[in-house]
Amino acid sequence: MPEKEQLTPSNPVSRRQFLKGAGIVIGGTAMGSVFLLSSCGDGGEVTKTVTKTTTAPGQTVTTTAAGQTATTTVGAVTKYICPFDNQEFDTLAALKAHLEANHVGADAANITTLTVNGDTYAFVDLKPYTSLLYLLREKLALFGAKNGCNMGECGGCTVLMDGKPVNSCLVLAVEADGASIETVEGLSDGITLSTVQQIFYDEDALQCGYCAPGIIMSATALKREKANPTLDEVREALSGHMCTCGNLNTYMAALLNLR
Amino acid sequence: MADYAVVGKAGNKEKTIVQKLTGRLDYADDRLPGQKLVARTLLSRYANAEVTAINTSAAEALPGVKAVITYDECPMLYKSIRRWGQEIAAVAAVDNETATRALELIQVTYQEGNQISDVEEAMKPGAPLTGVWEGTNIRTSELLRGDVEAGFAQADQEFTETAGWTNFWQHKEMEPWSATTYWVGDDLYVWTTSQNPFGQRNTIKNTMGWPMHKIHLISHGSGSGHGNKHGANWIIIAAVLAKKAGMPVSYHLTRFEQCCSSTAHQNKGKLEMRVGVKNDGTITAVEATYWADGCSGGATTASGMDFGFRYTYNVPHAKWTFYDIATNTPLRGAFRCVADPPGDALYNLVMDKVADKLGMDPLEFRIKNLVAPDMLQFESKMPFSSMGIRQCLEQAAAALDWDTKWHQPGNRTLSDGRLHGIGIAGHIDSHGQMSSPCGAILNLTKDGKCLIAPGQSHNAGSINAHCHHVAEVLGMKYEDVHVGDWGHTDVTSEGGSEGGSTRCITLGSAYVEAALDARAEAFAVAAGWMGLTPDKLSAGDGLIFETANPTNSKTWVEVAGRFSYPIIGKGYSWPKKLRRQVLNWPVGTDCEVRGQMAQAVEIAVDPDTGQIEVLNMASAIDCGQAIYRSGFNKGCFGGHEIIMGETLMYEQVIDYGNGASMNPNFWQNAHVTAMDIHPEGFNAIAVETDDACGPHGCKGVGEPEVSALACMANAVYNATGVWIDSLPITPDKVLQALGKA
Amino acid sequence: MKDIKHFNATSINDAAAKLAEAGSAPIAGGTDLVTILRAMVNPNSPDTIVNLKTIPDMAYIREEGDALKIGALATLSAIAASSVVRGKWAALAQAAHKVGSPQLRNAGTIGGNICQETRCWYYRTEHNYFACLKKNQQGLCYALTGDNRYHSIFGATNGCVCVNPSDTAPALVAFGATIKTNKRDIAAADFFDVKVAPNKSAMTVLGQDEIVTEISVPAPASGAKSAFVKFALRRAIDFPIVNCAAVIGGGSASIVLNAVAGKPRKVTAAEQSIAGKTINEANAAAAAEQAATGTLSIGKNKYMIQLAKAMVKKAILACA
Repeated sequence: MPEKEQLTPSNPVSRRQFLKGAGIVIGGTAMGSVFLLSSCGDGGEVTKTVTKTTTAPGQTVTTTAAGQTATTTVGAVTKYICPFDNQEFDTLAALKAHLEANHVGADAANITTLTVNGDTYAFVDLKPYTSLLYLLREKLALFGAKNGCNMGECGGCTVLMDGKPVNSCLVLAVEADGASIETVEGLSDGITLSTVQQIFYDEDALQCGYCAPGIIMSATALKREKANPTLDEVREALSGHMCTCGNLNTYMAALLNLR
Repeated sequence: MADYAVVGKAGNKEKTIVQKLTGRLDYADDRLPGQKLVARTLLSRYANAEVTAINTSAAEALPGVKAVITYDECPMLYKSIRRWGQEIAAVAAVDNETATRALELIQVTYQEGNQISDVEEAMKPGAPLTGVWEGTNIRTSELLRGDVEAGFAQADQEFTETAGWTNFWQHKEMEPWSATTYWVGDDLYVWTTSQNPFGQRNTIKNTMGWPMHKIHLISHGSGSGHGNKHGANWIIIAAVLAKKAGMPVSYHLTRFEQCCSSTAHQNKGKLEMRVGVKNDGTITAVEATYWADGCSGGATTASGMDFGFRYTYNVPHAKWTFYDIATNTPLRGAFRCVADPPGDALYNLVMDKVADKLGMDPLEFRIKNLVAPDMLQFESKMPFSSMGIRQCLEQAAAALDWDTKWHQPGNRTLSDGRLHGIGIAGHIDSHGQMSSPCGAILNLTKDGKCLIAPGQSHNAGSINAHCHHVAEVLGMKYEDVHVGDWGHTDVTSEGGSEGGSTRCITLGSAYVEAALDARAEAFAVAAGWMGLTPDKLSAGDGLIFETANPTNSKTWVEVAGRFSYPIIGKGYSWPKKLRRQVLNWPVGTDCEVRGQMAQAVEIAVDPDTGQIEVLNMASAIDCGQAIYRSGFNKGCFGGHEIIMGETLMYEQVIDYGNGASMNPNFWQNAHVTAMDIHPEGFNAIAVETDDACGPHGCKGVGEPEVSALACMANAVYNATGVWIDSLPITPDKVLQALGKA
Repeated sequence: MKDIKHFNATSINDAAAKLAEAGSAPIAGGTDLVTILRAMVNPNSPDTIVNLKTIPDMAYIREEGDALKIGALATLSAIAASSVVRGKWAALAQAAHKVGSPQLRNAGTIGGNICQETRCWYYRTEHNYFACLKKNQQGLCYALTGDNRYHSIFGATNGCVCVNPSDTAPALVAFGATIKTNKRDIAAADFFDVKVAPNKSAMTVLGQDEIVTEISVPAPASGAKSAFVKFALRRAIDFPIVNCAAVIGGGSASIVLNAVAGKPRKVTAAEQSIAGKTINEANAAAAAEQAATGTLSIGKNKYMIQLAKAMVKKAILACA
């Protein structure tokens, strides 16, 4: 996960530093435990976690027709390591079974594993009411997806789940077990823009920007399916999004090169 | 027309666009991941009541709850309830779900009063009191101009027409009220959405008595404002909770809270206007009565609804009577303008009615009765620094092919059976002017760039406009002027309110001054180096050069490399006075600086369902001079969507039986979707009159972009031959007008 | 939201056994249930959520013999995109396609769509602020005397004037579909109800531990065409104010309105009027007039009667 993140004065902590800082929290709290399984073993700096295959920065994720995500890989994964006792396992499933058997409570269903922007995480003892949106924002500091309404009416929380746009506010995080999630942060390292981001950049197509991450994810899914969408296809792809600056027409015009 | 090097040029981009595109711009809730408590507020079940007892002990005992406060501890929580959904108590807990459960454990005892949420009930003689004002539900005022009876005596005909009620529309910004707050000792740190960071700091200080210098408020990313984010209610609630809990608190309102609590909605108005006209369509006199719903805050905005009429039409004799009526409904506040949009929806509908009765094209009728650029404004007696209202009407009409497309009402059907209609409206707006004094600071870097630090929020495009002003004056390229930090009360200078369509012109003028200040010092350095005096120098395109011999030049980078001390630019905004002679009025004359606009719309109405589709729309705005060109265009196009929403969809539905808001969400209180709009049919036109007060000739446009609401109702009349006086114009009203419901 | 427990069912029987316990409810796509739980709408909200998505092989869409078989967990977007459905059962694909938004269709399932709760804004107000009769014993119907602009034009069902908001429901009824559960087969026309307190609030006849497993849709008559039309304030996201599905051809007509009453309404008079006739403007309009039969306004919803006629007419014309 060598993520060359652009640090800003107001965002001075890189995700890697944050994740390192989050460390391992053992035992349940009202918010649930964060159990970090994955990090980039970048330059020998490791936490007590596991390296795995991820996309290189800026590299486009290719999608197959079935909506499954195939990623190009950099750096082969070798082992999954239990951070409690350093035992090594060949598969994630084997590690999970080990954790369930040895390091958590009797409820074996209490581990949620999901991949976000190519990195795999496992969460222990998540409260079932926790939404995927909350998980992304508060557990992983991925603030791109926004809480615009928390009820699936505005699209501000849109992420791709197994390649498809969904409202992450309506996904219970425990039910995202096994899913592959993409957020806007995964599209770019902050410096090199993805195709859709570049289109909006070239057309200067944003206003306040709050709805942008969600719209970018829907537009990304559209562009993966159709390189040259029609006006009706663009309309439909964005139809689950609110924009109170009134910028929907500008996003659409940019995607269609209308102006 | 002035030709600037940077100002008004296409292709210049939003300065924070990369951060926005990559999800890395920090909005208020994008802070302290997993380390902040979540606040929820308990909202009243009654619209008029007194809270006689409250018991929070069960809520406090719920595991995960860290603090509970009531009206005893926070002035933004209330015991005397005058609107459904008013805040009574607040909870901070480890997560949203725990806080929400805690609300149900707070026991409140209410003594219920009479609620009156229907303005027509509240204004009836003998109506029970709403409790908003002492002893009455109604306040009234009057305005006279000339001799109204003499004016009517000159008329050949008289018409009395009505319009209204317009609609409550609730603020529904994508980002609700949102703040993350924490304390370090008695220093308060706040990240918040905002339209006025310094104003908010002031409000917090005034409300709570906390020292101003110990309130550290930052607003970076902000998700759309529209007039709802000047206050600090949510910040204060979060801060009081944070103090009590001893932990950071985020108060990011739910949609339910955002539609109730103390957020505001644009109020409703009604008009009855008696108009005297000569046979050729010249208006000789007007007698108007406006009613406005003052809601539970007791707002008095009926007179504001008339602003555009008084400014736009050359009516020498008039009498206005204004009634403001308090009701037990959510607070009234500006929604993308104080009162001009509902006002336009009223008087500009009446204007079309009068034109119709005269058998005149409404565009022609309007233009005939406009004030002229050489007139003083009737009440203020001041000249206008620029006046493009006529060009706005003409160009908006031309963009939609008005001459070919306008027809007699109800007599054009499209091939699919739908009714075609076209309508226009426009006025001189109350907004867009030079407003309260503010300051600007900037830094020149030793690598030849400039960093501005505007003390304002960033919902719209004005920060980019300041970069244009600065680049133009310094003679730098737009790419070399950057925004350093903004909206930070500890660091930036007080930059005023991102409201009233005033930043581009007001803080913009301060930035011109700051750039001139810095440029003078830089020129001193360059002059010394080039063996000239500073008065012999100019700057442009990244170069500082000898005016008389432009090939004798140095780059800004080279000159900056020779700065021996940091060069800072400081400036203050200009007063509202002419900066160049206009007609007979000399420099320094106090003047009217007003944004002006026309919006025109072409629609198709389905006579079976009453559904209205907007086919084409045009917005022509007298902006004086567009500064951030792309921002101007986006703002016009955005205004199209908002006008569609305001006229066709937005409605905060109040159940008059109990005063409840029935649609506190995005679903039924709706903004247009992508499926509802035709981006290919949208038109943005800059009418550039080169204002004589604003920096580089500009005026504000944010509110003019959404103001000529009557264009829609006028188009509906043109389509159907039936007037629909009230907003929003929903299918049920169209069907009723067509006799089908 | 309550501090809910969550159970991943591994089979239908597993789910049913869990649902038999008091205080449990099934979750499919979650796009409706999560909002209801989060807003604490219902005073008797479940303590345990039983996840049906972990039951294998519940999301199929296939033609078997003459019939269309859809697993209850098939998503609305999969149904809308399915070439099988878009062929002979076009109205169902169109209906699925008109639900909400792409995001909601990617998560929402057909099982959930036909089981969803009403949108009545009194019912849906947070924290049970309006303790209406649908979810509270001794409750009353606030819509009857309040703002009922979106409510039933066919009177009350069990005292409640709410409407059924499903887009797929009228298409399923129009095709004569069968809803299969773990306990029985139910004709689509008999599947819907308005359950009020003291029963558990619901919009179907399903029992507490009864789960929809499959929807079976017979092939329409040879040469028949089908269409679905939806009227809402906006062209996306919104629930219907009135919708209509029609299957016409081969001498017969099946026309069903929804969002006009507590259950989908077969417009028998319109069916009889158009069946066997050429579909043209005049015949469609004449049939559509019949849609008003039996309607009544309860205050603010009179316009819905005209909309019902308009939608019937549009649906018929779309089958031409």
